[in-house]
Amino acid sequence: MKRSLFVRLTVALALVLSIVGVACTAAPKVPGAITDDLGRSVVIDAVPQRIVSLAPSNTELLFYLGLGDKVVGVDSYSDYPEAAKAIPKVGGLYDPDIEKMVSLRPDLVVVTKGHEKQVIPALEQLGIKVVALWARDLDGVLADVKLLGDITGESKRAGQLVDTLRKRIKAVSDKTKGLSDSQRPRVLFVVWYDPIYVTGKQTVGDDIVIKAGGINIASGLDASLPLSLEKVVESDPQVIVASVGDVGSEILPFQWAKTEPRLANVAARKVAPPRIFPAGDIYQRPTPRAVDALEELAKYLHPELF
Amino acid sequence: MSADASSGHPNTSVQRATPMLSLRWRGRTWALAGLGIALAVVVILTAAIGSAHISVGTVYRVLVDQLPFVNMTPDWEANIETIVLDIRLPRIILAALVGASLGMAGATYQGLFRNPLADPYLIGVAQGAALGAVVGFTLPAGVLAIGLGVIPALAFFGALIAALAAYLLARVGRSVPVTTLILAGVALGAFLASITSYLIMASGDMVRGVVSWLLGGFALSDWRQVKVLLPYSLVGMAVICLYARPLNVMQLDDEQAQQLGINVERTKLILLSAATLITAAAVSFSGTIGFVGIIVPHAVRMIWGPDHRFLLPLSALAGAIFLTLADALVRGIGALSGAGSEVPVGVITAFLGAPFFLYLLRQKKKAVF
Repeated sequence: MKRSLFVRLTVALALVLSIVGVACTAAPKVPGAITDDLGRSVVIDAVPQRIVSLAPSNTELLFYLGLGDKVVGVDSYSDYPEAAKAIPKVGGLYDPDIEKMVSLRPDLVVVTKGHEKQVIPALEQLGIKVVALWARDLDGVLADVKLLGDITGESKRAGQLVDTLRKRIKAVSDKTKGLSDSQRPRVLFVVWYDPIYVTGKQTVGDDIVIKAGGINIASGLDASLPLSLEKVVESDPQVIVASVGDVGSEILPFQWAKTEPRLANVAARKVAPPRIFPAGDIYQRPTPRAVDALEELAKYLHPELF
Repeated sequence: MSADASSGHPNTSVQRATPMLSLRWRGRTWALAGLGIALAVVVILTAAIGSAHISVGTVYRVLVDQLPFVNMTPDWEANIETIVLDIRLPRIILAALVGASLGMAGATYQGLFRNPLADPYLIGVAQGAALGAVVGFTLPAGVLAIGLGVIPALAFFGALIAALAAYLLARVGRSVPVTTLILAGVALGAFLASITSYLIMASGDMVRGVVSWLLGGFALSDWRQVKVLLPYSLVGMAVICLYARPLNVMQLDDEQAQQLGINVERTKLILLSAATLITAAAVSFSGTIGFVGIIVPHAVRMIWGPDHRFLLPLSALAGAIFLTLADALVRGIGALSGAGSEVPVGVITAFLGAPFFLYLLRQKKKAVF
């Protein structure tokens, strides 16, 4: 009797466990504890169903993973893809409307660098899960796709997308990595002109320029500090990549690079036509479209290779 | 002779100075000459400072080559010439002009308002300029692209409109009491600043440009800006210097000055207009650089006395030297940092100007008590 009860209990337990096991493999895997790009440890105990994005790049990544229908709120700069524009806005990058966000009942808010002082603590205080993405190069973008895939139960899909992106990046860098320094044009990537900001170390733009077969003159510089005009002229860039953005006044850096009289004797301006390359938002945003940018710039810098 | 005539020819008293005063006269005349020479020296010396690595010798050969009848065979690249002649030189000259304008405008305001706290930004000029500039930053690219001078123009008109509004608001009947003008200026300034703050918040990704304009600097100064600013500054400063003597008399009070034959309201209006004009013109290109306009006139007054006939030009010269040195320091820091990134000049003027001023204040205290 005793033994038979034990057997029956064991069988029952085994049955229950196997059902749970089957259920677990069928349902999306709950990711558990993850570490985000700011080094924060976050426990994701359920697959998020209502997501708010606080950066255009985050919004793009979510849509890229096919999670557009789970995004219930975005910051007002999120303009890609087209469908993102129809999603309720929760305010600007650094001054989001917390009340509006709470009213959307998100179970995950995806933030970025710059949100750690005020926005992240405020959201955590309200018991909302927060994950920060902050890619500083193309590998970082791939890692973000993977991380976001893990969090949202789309690991497999994310893995496939990452593989495709990695192959495309490799196809470009395989052709450019054999170039000697003298074959690589000296590039300056101007993000803003008054004062002059350039893409320095730890930016996606820097990685794009290098992988596309250029030398980023500002590679070692801190991108958050302005650069003097003297230094720009002295560095004598052979190609100026200038931001045109996709909206508003962001086209001005490109116009400045073309018309500033004091750049007239710089190598990029002395050739005809001038080697000034208009760079849209995709050259700065840490998103999969940065790989499009890489392919485009590589073709411009080295038409002989592509 | 009418009361107006005396204020129209205020510069005739040099010969009438008493022998006892003449010693002080000589000292202050020497001070004028000395500061003038010092300014020239500072301008030439600081041309060697910058983030681009150009040897001092090359800098001066490029400069000497520009002198008439000097023809050197250039052993430098075209870009070096661009850096020295079209980046550094206009920047230094503009800093000197802006410093002179702010120094003299500050001395004028302090005299007019008989208030040691007065500075060129007292009646809303800075806040008006800032609002104009920030509005410029929020304009769509299409408008801005017409010319890169939209923001300075908006800043200039913002400054003038703000000052005019403060003046009209403060007018009581036919006169403008200085205390009322200060209060109107402060209130109007706060009102405009609130709009500016909101626009900055709303400007999003333009915020870097806005903040850097507000802190002030000469990073992108070119000769066009010097050409635009020069006539305003020279005419404005000349007018102010012509009214130095009435300004001395007005230190008593409005009523006594009136009895001594000064057309107080007219003089006030002319001096206010001239000082506001040179401030607005200076600020529109360089941003609202603080502390020059308040500290320089005080320092000059502490050293060479309160006579406006000297205080005004000496403040202009001292302001020019101070701001030229401050901007040279900005460039020096940029060079040392290796990256060529620059601290806003407004940060330097406050950081160095305020302690120097406090030092003078302490010295003065010891001497008096």
